[in-house]
Amino acid sequence: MAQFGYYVLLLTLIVATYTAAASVVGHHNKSRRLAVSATYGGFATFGLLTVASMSLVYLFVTNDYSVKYVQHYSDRSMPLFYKATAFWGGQDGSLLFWVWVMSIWGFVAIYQNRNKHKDLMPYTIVTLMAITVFFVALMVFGDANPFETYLAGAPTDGQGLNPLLQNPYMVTHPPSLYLGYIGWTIPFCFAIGALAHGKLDYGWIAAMRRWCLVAWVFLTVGLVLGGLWAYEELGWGGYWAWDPVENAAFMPWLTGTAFIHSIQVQERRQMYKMWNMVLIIITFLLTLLGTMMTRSGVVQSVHAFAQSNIGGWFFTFIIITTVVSVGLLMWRAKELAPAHGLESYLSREFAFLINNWVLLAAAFFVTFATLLPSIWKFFFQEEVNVGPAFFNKWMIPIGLILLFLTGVGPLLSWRKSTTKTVQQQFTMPAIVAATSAVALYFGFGVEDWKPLATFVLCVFVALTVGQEFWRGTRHRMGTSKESALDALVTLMTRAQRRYGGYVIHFGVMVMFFGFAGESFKVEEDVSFEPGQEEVIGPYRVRYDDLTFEDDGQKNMITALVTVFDDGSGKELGKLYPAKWFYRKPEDQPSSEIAKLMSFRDDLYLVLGGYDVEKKTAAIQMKVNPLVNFVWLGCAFLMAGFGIAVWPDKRKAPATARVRRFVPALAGTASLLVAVTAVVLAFV
Amino acid sequence: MAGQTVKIIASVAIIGAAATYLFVDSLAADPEALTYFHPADVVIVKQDEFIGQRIRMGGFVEKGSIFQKSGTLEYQFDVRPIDQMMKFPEAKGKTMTVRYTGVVPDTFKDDAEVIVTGSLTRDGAFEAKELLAKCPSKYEAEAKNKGTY
Repeated sequence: MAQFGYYVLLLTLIVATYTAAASVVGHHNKSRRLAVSATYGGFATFGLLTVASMSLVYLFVTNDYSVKYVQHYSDRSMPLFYKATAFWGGQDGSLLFWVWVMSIWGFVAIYQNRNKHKDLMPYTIVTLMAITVFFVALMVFGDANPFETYLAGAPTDGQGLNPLLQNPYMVTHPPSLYLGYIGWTIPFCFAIGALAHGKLDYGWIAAMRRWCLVAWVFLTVGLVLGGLWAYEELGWGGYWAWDPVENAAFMPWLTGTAFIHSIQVQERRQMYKMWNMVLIIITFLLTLLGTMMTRSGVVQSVHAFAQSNIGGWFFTFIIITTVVSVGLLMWRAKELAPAHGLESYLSREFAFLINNWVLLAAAFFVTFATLLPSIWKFFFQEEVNVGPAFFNKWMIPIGLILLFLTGVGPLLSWRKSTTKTVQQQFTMPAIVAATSAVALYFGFGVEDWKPLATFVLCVFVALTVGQEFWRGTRHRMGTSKESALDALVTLMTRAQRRYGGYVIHFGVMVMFFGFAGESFKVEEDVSFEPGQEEVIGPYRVRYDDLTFEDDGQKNMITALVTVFDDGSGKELGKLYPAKWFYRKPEDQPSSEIAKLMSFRDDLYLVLGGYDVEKKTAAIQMKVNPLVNFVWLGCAFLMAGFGIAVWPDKRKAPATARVRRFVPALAGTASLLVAVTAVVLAFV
Repeated sequence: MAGQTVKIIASVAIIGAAATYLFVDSLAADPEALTYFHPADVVIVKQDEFIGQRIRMGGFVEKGSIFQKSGTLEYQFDVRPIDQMMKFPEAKGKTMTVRYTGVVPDTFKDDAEVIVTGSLTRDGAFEAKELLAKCPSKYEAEAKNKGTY
């Protein structure tokens, strides 16, 4: 089976190369047969990579420890489910997973456009195949073959998967992140397709606009699930640490978000054509850079991927991609000139431009700060580390500017807003926000500028977004005599993209509200005797006992803790922070945190140490205010995405409905994944 | 067109210069922004130079040296240099004692590669505020862990 998988990869290489060639030749010779065969070639690469991926899963599930990769990342005692998902537990497998996910996206993109965009597709397919060839070649020739076997003396059991990875988040987080991360490849391929062919109108964007939204939502959910995983599993009580691996996924998110905004300007006003090309190329390059950074040991990270030689491969590929892209851009520069200039600074175009610049600045800052240690080492031969404090110092102000724009942008009209409409739109939110600032500062004693500014901007954004819903609903109720609810629903279905966007902006606001809670967290380490009570924040915590259990796979040491409300003395619940010692990998403990959740805050307990004889326990206690709003905001964000892409039955013909159905389905699936994760988090 | 190009280049240059200045300035101003990393052998040999400075030190946890004060989060352990990348061979066989209070990452154990952030005290021990640990090389899978901030 291992040999089989390897040969399937070799075959993929051949088929993908053929597809690229057939696509170009077919296009230039106007050969319909070759063009059709290129389409099928695209489908075939997807089929082959699916077979290769399933072979690897099969090897895991059937405990074939003669395969090095399987032997490294699984063992017999692991549940079947985790064996299958160990597929993406290490480097070689995750490369296969990468290219497989890309082939899924590629398949759908080619399928949807098989009878459309005849001029756009050939070079889009070529680009897609070129990227496929790169990744498959990397596995086959670049010493990253997941099907490599032991030459002699295959071990009878595997080394097991790190227990940190054996949890539901690691099942949901990587696929979601990968789907999003790799999703940006498709718009990039369309962009290159358009540049190569010279059809530079709105067509290429229309063909992939929805893909961008899908990629964006998966990437966002993937990032949030990663944060949730860190929060639940790692026991340091936070969800984001500016680790290079996190940054690698965040960089293309920033430029991708900019792209989603600026393509609307091209759609409405035929401007920013060049800019959009530049943004999607940068986004794709950042995904490559991110993959290289995290997979090659270029950047020191606590995510310990092996140092390997694939860095050189990636570097070469990034250079080639840059040269080709920049070359194409220069060649087409004249044709990418805007139809007309900016009419007014009080326009949505301009707000989007500012948003783009801020997002791009953020992306470059994060990229530079992440690479700084590598750059420093190159020039000064000294190793340095850039701490989270430095990232926060820059990213908090940048984030607040973006939050402000979230409220402002959608309310400005295209072309030009009159001073009067601006006054109408902003007077009430601005006054209420200013009043809330005074109330927060003097009434609630919020004196730190960071949470203060965040809260005030949250009020502002909530009001500007809420006002839009309110006005629209009122207007419909007046003109069509509908009930308030009917009016609201009709409003949202009539302009799905607009109101979906508002809901997403509202979700972003809710997430920022959650981020602000960071400023108020409390932490304490306590060595408890049985029966001892301690007060932290609004809680009184009593440590009762220590228990020992063994379930065959692991040894479990659990502290029994009762939590009371410190004010009323009412019992709020029991918590069981624990330490688990797995049989395999040997002696690797896993800290199982316990928390009491509410919208106000989380009480977060970690069992750090214990004394078996005296039954004492050292527990780290944290109160993390507002943290659950981060997850809640993400739910709003997904709901907004659902509204924006939900198939519109009234006007769409059947084929378009199917075309729209796919992203909607993807959205629903991601929503389900996220809901499952949240439910699991609460269990 | 030429005028516009000049305008664009000029504004990019001005914005770039301003950003670079702010960047370098904030890097220099914040003592926690940039921390120098030194392998354990360098710290062991040049102890006196580092006293009181905030640094990061990397090495391996000496087998059998981890001591946790029973029922507390107070740890003491020894870090030995990484043989393959020693600048000072005379540090071979020597270790640096590290003290740390807090929850340790799950990957922290004998022979694990650790990076500690903190400073050297006058008594020659390393007072760590932050502890990162990678599992022994066998596991290259994601193993992210943090001490406390």
